[in-house]
Amino acid sequence: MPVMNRRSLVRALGAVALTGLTPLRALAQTLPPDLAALSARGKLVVGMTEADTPPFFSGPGEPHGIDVDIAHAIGAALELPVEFNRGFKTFNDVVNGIALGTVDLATSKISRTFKRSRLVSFSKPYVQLRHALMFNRLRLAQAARGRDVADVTRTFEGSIGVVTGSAWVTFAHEHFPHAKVVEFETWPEVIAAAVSGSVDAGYRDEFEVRRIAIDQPDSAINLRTVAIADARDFISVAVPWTAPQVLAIVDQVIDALPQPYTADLLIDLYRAQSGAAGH
Amino acid sequence: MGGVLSRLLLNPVLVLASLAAAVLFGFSSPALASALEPLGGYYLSLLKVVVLPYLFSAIMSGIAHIAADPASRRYLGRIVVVCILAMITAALVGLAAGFVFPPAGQVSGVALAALGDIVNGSSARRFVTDTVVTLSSGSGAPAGTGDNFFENFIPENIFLALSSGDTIKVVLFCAVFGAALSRHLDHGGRTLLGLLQVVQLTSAEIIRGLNLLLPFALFAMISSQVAHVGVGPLISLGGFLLAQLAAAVGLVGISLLLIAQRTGLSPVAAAVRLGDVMMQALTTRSSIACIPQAVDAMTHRLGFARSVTELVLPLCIAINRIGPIFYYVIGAMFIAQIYGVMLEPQEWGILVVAAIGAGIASSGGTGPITVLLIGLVAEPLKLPIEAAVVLFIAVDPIVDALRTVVQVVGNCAVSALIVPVPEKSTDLATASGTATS
Repeated sequence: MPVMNRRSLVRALGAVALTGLTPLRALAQTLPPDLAALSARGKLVVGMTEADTPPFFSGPGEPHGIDVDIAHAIGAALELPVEFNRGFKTFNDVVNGIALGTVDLATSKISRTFKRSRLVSFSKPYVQLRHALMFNRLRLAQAARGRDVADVTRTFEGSIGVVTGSAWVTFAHEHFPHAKVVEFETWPEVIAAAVSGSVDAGYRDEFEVRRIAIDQPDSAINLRTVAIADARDFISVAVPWTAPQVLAIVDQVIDALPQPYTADLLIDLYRAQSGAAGH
Repeated sequence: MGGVLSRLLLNPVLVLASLAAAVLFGFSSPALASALEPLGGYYLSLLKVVVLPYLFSAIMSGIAHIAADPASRRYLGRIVVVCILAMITAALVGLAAGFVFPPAGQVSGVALAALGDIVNGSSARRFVTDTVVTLSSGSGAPAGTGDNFFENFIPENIFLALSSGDTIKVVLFCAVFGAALSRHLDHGGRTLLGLLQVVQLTSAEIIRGLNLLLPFALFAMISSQVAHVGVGPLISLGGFLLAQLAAAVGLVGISLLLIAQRTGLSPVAAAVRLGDVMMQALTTRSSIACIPQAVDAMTHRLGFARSVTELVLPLCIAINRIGPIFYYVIGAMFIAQIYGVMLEPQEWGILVVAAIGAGIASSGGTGPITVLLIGLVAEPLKLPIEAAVVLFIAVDPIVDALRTVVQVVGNCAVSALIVPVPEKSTDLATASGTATS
């Protein structure tokens, strides 16, 4: 319930006295504008990318996953039914969708970046992952010139593959200024390019890079995976900057989550999921 | 009674039967077999504890004798030449085996996935990344492996070198000390040599006794190794193992032919007389531990001159590393093939030279240490080793056995080429494959 100051209390009582409205109805008129707009619409539209990203959200038809659960929890907190809009190609498109008002918020494994924070507001993170690189082993050996992998990573001058329209394009330019950033449509394309050697390395979060070893065991021969301890990716819910009350409620929902999601836990969840699916 | 028992325990049929039983036991009850592993370890430790004194005394007295006798100095030149030729031969046979049986030639699809599983480790692991780094440096000066290379050879503390089994350092010390000792033979030097001789004979006696335990130790060692390795890696790395086996068979064959040619025996007869040495090499996988047995076989059963053999053979087994050399050549070829790298002609030359260097650097090391030194070959060729090393270590128990046989038998051949041709004596006529004197 919003805290009421003296002026609005006086106004509310005045409205009751003057118009004969019931006290409850009067209180309803003082809902914060962002919540009021949602109530008026009668549903919560949540944006997600069209590509499946297990265990965050996946599935033909009605999606399931961590982000789906969080979206439902927010819907329950706002007392609104949830509708998913997955008509977005890239992660940047989802963020733009919020800014344009196409969706009310996004639970779509969205990474918090400074660029995006100029368009939307971010909740507190519900997953924290380290950055990770997957080097093509042969390319790494050829470029190493006697240096160890830590030195090569810090001054990386080769080509880095990233998913287009994702935060990783930004991160790559920021952390590897001497490298050549190559964008691909999908993550599987980045993996294939790193395995074949058309790019020297692929760049994404620790969970996605570790997941490859589960999906493609033979990749271990060609790929050397490196986690970067001092570069972190914060996954948050994105809401319009005009919806501060919604943001506060989302933060409460995240606080109430049963467990913090670590990379290890995500790997376990993914293995359980893909094992059940018979991968 | 004692004589009957000892002849029974040393009977090659019993040894072979024990080997077969061990393999079956290792496959059928891996848990029990793994429990036997410490027993094999104790046997090996007992062997090694006497072999180092044996090596120390044999090399020191050998060098002292040679340095004192101008006539026998020609051996030194011959040792260097034959050893270099042997190392080059080992590298070339390795290359040939690698071309005829491509170590990674047929690996694709399912086999590659199986190899990937080995590299990833057991399924209980949470698929962590290979490494963790930080972007903000601790930048240290890049550690050049070349800077410390020669530290491996120069002894700083002989007692430390002896207690850690650092063979090359021990050998270098013995060579220097022995040469200096030769100048003081008349001032008590002979007394010291006499003492060393006693140490040598005593060690040899202990080893002969230990050989009686061979069938049991063999069973413990082989069955636990079979249990460890498991069938999976053997199949996935079949090409690699085949190439290593082909090179080993080729080098052992060449060695037996050379020995046969020097002694006037048939290669088969030579093989029979060296049979127990080969068996010991296969099972103990420690070339140093086989030295006394090998000296015994070459002198008593093949009739080579005792005094020179007692210097040359231990020296060569310790530092003429023909076993690891062919292993590194084939290992490097495996890595190049699996990453689809075509080597230029000059890179083949680099491969051979680097393999010889890595072989020499591997003196005194065992198992995984030897495997890791393949980095010395891969680095100049800019090949990645981390994934391949995991695969190699998975099958190393088998390949180590092959390396050791080649190391021992190959150096017996080297010794045969250096040591004077034996007189046709009664020793040869009465010697049988099972007798130990």
